[in-house]
Amino acid sequence: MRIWRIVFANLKYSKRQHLGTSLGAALASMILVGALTVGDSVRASLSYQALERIGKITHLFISEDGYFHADLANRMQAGWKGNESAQFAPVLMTQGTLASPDGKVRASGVQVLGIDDRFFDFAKDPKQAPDLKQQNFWFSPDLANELGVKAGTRMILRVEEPSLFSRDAPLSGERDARFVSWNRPFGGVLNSSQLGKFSLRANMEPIRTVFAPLSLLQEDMFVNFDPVGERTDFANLLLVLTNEPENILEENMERVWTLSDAGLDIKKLQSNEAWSLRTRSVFLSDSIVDKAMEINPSLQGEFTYLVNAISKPVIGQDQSRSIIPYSMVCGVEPRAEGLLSGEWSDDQIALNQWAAQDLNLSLGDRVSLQYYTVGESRELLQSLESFEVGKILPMPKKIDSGQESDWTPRFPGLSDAENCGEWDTGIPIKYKIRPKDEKYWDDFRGSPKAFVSLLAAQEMWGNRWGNHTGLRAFGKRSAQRLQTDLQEKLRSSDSGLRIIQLKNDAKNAVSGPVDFSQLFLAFGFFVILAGVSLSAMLFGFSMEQRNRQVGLFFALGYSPMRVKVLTWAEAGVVCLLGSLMGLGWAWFFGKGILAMLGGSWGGAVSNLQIIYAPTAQSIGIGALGSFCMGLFTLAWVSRKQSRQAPVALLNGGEFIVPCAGSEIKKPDGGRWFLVAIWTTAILLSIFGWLNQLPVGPTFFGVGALVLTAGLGGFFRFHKKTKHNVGEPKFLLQLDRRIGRKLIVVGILAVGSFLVIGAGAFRQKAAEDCSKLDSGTGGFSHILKTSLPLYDDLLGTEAEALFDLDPGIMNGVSLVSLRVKDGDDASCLNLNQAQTPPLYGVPLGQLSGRFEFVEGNWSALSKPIADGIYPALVDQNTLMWALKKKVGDQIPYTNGEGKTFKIQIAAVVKGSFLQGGLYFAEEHWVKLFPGRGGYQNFWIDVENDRQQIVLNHLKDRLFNYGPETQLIQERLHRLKEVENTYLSIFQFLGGLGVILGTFGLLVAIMRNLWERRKEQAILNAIGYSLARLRVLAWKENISLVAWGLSIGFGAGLLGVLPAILSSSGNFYLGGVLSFGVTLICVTVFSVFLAIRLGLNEESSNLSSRE
Amino acid sequence: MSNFLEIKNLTKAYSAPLGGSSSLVFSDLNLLVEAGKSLAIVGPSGSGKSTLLNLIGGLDRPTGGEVLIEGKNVHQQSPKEAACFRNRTLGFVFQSHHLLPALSALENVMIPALAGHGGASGQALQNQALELLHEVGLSERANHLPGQLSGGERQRVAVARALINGPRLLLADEPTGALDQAKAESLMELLVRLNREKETTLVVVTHAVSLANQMEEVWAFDDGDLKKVDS
Repeated sequence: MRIWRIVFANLKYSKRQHLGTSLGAALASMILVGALTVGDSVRASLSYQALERIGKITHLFISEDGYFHADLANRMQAGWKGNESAQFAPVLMTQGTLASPDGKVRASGVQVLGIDDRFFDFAKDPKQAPDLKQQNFWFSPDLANELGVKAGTRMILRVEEPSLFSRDAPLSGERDARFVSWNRPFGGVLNSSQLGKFSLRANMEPIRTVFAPLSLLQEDMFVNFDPVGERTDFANLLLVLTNEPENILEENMERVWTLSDAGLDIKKLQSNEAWSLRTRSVFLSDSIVDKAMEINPSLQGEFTYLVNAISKPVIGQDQSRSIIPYSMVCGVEPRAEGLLSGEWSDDQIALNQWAAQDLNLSLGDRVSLQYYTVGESRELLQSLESFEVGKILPMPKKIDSGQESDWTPRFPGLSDAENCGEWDTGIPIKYKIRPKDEKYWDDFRGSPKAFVSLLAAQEMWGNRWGNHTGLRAFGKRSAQRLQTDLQEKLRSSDSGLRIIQLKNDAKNAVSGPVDFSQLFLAFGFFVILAGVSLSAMLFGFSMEQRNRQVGLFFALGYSPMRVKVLTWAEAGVVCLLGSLMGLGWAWFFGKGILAMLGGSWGGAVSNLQIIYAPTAQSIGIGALGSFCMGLFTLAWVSRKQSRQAPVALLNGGEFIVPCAGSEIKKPDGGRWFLVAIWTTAILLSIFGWLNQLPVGPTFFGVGALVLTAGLGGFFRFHKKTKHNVGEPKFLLQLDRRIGRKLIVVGILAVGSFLVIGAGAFRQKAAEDCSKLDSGTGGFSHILKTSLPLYDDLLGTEAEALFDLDPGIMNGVSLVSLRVKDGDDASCLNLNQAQTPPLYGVPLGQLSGRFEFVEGNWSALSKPIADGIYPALVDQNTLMWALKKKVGDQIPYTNGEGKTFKIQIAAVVKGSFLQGGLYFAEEHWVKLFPGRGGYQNFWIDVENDRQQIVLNHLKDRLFNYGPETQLIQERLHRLKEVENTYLSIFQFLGGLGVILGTFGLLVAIMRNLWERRKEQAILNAIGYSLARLRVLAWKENISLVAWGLSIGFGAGLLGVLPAILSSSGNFYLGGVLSFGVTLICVTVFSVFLAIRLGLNEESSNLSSRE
Repeated sequence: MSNFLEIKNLTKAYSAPLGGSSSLVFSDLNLLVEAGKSLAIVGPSGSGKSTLLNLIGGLDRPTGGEVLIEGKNVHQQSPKEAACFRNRTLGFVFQSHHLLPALSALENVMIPALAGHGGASGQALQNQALELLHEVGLSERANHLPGQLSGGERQRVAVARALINGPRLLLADEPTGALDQAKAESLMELLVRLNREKETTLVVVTHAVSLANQMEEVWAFDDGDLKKVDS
C-alpha cells in the first residue's frame, strides 16, 4: 500500500461531499473557460469578418484625394522585382447613390467600386468571378438585402464627376456638383468568396457596395479630367497581393511611378525653347514647387488667375465704359532678361496693348484689379487692388483653336469654352461681355491681358492649394533635367499615393477595444468567487467531518506537512474533476452566451455574427486557472486543521471548540479600524458628489469600503455575541461557524451590491435633448450626404443653388462639418479603430455646446506645434476605443502624403460625438486641400418644425444622397451598448446571487443537520416542531438581513454621489425591482431550508437513537 | 532498570471555550516508569487520566512541567521531530478505534508505516501487518472494512496498528471502554501478552480496576493527585 491509497480511499468514501465541492469548482471552471472561449469566438469572428472584407489583399496603394493611371497596375506587374511574386489590380472607389428608375428603391452613401477581372484574383474563390463584360451592376450582400431587388432590375447609379481639383478652390468650375449616372441592370450579388464584402474600413456597419466594370465608370467619370492627354483610365486604389515587405513594394512603385501619375506634365510651350511644369490640378502645390526649385533654382514661377475686371478709376462716368471684364492676369518673377524687368515693383502692372488701348491707359496711370477669392464654405470674397502701369506689352500671338496661351493653365469650365458665353468658372458673371471681349477670346483665348510680379499675384490669389500655376524652364536640356530629376526626387507618396498594410491593419483591428475574454471574466468574477466560496464551504464541511482522521494521523506520527499533502492531494483530485466537469459546462455556457450575444445582447457586439471558436490555449488556461484557484482555496480552508492540537481533533470531531486558553488576546483595534473605514466611505461619497468624480470608480470605491466595513462589523458582532440564556443553545451553534456565515453573508452582500450597481447605472435616454450642454449639444438631427456640399446651406449661394425655401430654413441652426473618413471609434465598433474619422468643425458655431470634461472648443483654435493639431474627442471613445488620455497624440497622413499629429486637447462626455476626432476647420482645410465640401451637418431646430425642415432638405438635396438621423436615437444606440454590458453583468451577478442563496440554503440545512440530536432532545422535552422552526427562522433570517443590508447599504452609498449630482444615470426602478426580488428569493430560501432541515423525522428522538 | 518515562511537575488547566475562568485538571504530577513495565492509570471520570495520557503522547500541550521519554522532553520538539517521535517510539490505542472506514483492516494497520519516517514498505510491510493481524487473531479478517468488523475486532485492529512500527511505549486510552466484559478481558490479555513478549512499555488508562490489576503497577488519580496503588 502506498500513501495515495489513503487519498483515493478518502475520495471514494466522501464522494458525495466531494461531488458538491467539485460542482463549485466546476462552476468556476465553467465561467473561466467560458469567458475565455467567448473572447476567442469574438476574435475569431472578427478575424473571419476581416478575411471576408479584404480577401487575399495584403497591401493597398491609395490616392485619397486624386487619381493615377490604372495602367500603373500593369507597370507594377511587368516591372516587379522581388523574391516573392506579386499581383496587382486597379480599382476605382467612390461614393454614390443608387435608385430604381421609378425612385421607389433607393440607397444613399453606397460605396462604388469600379473593378476589372483582376479584382477577383484577390477573392477567396477567383473562379466565381462574374462576367464583367455584361456591363451590369453587382451588389454586396448587405446592399442587396437592403434593396431587395431581383437580378435584371435596372438601377440608376449616380456619382459625382471627379474634379481636377477641389471644388472649394477658386476657379474650380461650375458651383453645382456635376453628376455622372448610369442605368444598368442588377447582375447579382457578389458574396464574400467573391470579395463582395470588400471594404477598407474595419467597421461594424453593413457593407453597402455596388460593383461596376472599371471601364464603364472611367469612360464617363473622367471624360473631362484629362483634356490634354484625353485619357480616362484613372483609378485611385491599387490592390496588392504579395508576401514582400512594404519597402520592397515602395521600391517597385518608385521605379514605375511617373510624373503623369501625379497629374504633372512638363509642357512644351509655343515660345521657343520654353517648357512649363504644370499640373492638371491647376495649382502646383508648394511641396512640388519646392522640390522643382531644388532641382533648378532658375525655374521661373508663374501664377495666372481670372480677375473680374481690370479697371481704370474714373469719377463721375459710367463705370462700365472703363473696365475690361473677366480677364486673365499673370504673375511672373521680374528678371533682367524677363518679361518684367529686374527692377519691377510689386505695385506695378504691365498691360498688353489691347488692354492699354481699351482703357486708354499709358505708363504711370493707375489701374485696379477686381477679383474673387474663396472664403469659408466657398464664400466668394471680392477684393480690389490698385497698380501703376509700368509697361505696355506688345500683343501676344494668336492662339489656334484647342490651344491655350503659354501663360495660362487649363481652367475647368473656361479653357474649353468656345465663346465667353460658355464660361463656367464658378464665379458669377456680373459684368457685360462686350463684342470686343468675345473677339479677344476668339483670337487670343486666355492670354493674360496684364502681368504683375509673382509676389503681388501670390498675395492676391495665393491659396491653400498652391501659389503657382506653372514653373517655366528654358532650354531643352533644362526641361529634360527637370523631368528626370523631378521623377527621381518626387516620390509617389508626395502626390498622395500612400501604401496601406491592409492585412496587418486588419489583424491589428481584430484585437479590438473590447476584449470579451476580459469582459466576461470581469463580469463573471463574482460567479467565480461565489463558486469557489461554495466549494470552500462544502470542502470545509467535508474536512470538518474528518477532524478525527486528521487527529489520528497526527497521533500516528504523520507530520503536519504530510497531512497537508494528503489533504491537498484529495482537494487536487476534487478540483481536477471540477475543472474537467466545468470544461463540459463551459461549452454550454459559451454557446449560451454567444446565443445571447446573437439575440438580446446583440447590442454589445453590434450584431456581429459570432462563430463558436474556442482555442486550446483558452481551454487550457481556463481549466488550469480554475484548478489552481480551487486548490488554493481548499488548501486555505484546510489550513486550520493542521494548527489544531491532535487531541482536540480526536476528541472534538466535527465540532472543535477553539480553546480559549490557546488564543492570544490581542488589543481590540478592530472597532477603530471599522470606524475609520466607515468614515472614509462616507467622506469619499461626499467628495465624489462635490467634485463630480466619475460615478463608476466612486461607486466601486465607496462600495468596497462599505462592504469591508459591513462584513467586518458582522464578523465582530458574531464573534462577540454572548449566548442568550433564554434561547435553546443549539440554534446558536451556527454562531461558532463564523467562516461559513461570513461566506454566505459575503456572497449575498457582494452580489446584491454589484447587481444594484448594474441596475442603478443603466443608461437612460437624455431627458432634454435641447440643452446645449447635454450629450446632443442642443442638436436634434445629423444630416449626412453621400456627395459633398460645398456651400453654406444657410447662405444665399446655397439657397439659390438648391432652391431652399428661406421661410422653412428660417430659425434653423446648422453646423457643417468636413469629413475625412476613417474607422468608427465608437462603442458600436468591435474592431480596434486604426485611424478614426477626422471632422473639421467651425469652432465659432459650437461655443457653449456639449459638456466638457477637459478643455473646451477654444482649446482647438491654435496648433500645438508645427504639424500637431489639437482635437476634441468623446470621453468613451478616448477611454475605451482609443485607450488614450488627454495630451496623447495620434499620427495621420494627409492627402499629399504628409504626416501630422492630432493631440487630444478637449474631452466631452456622454455625447453623440463618439467615434471620431474633431478639430478646427481651418486646420482641416490646410491639411486636406484636395478634399472639398461638407458631408455632415448638425441641425438644431425646434421640435415642431423638425420634420418640415428635414423633409425639405432631403427633397432639395436629393441628388447628394441625404440621410438623416435623430441624435437621440444615436445616443440611445450608444447607451444601449453600455446597457447591454450592464445586463450581462447583472445576469452574471444575479447568477452569483443565486449561488449565494444556494449557499445560504446549504449552510442552514447543514447546521440543522449537525444539531439534529439536540433538536430531537428539545422535541422530546416539549418543544413543538413549529416552535423549533420559529427559533431556527429567527436565527437564520438574520444572515439574510445582514447580507442584504450590507449589500444594499454599499450599493446605495456608492450611487449616492450620482443621485445627488443628478447626473440622470441613476435608475431607481432597476434597484427597487431587483431589491424586492432578491429579498423574496432569499427569504424563501431560508424558509425552504428550515422546512427541509427541520422536520418530523429529524426531531424524533427515537430515530436519532 | 533505567527510567523510560519520567513526568515532572506536570500541570494542565483548560480555559472555558466561551470565556470564564480556567479549570485546573491536575498540577505538579510526578511519575517514573521503567522500560518494559506495564502500568495502569485509574480514576473516576474527569479526573485527568486521558489528559495525562495525551500529554505523555505529545497529543496535547501541558500548562506546566515536563514529560521525558528516554530523557527527551516530549513537548520541546519541532513539529517534525514530534511527528517522528510519535511514529517511531509510541503506539496509541484509543477508546474509539479511529479506523479509517474506507480502508481494510490490513490497510489500517499499515497506515503508521506510511508516515514517511522510514521503516518497512511494500511487501515487507504488508507481511508485517498480516503477522500482526495474526497475532491479534484477525488474520482471516484482514481484507474486511471496519464496518464489517465487530467492536472487539476493530479494537484489535487498532492494537495491531499501534504495533506496526515496533513502538517502545504503547499508550492505551480506555481500550476496553466500548467493549463488553468478555471482549474487554480478551483485549487486555492481548495487551499484556504483547507487553511481555515484545517488552513494550505499556501505559493503560482505565476506570476498570479489575483490568488495571493485570498491570504491573497501578496508579490512581485522587483529588487531582496521582498515587500509586498497592496491589
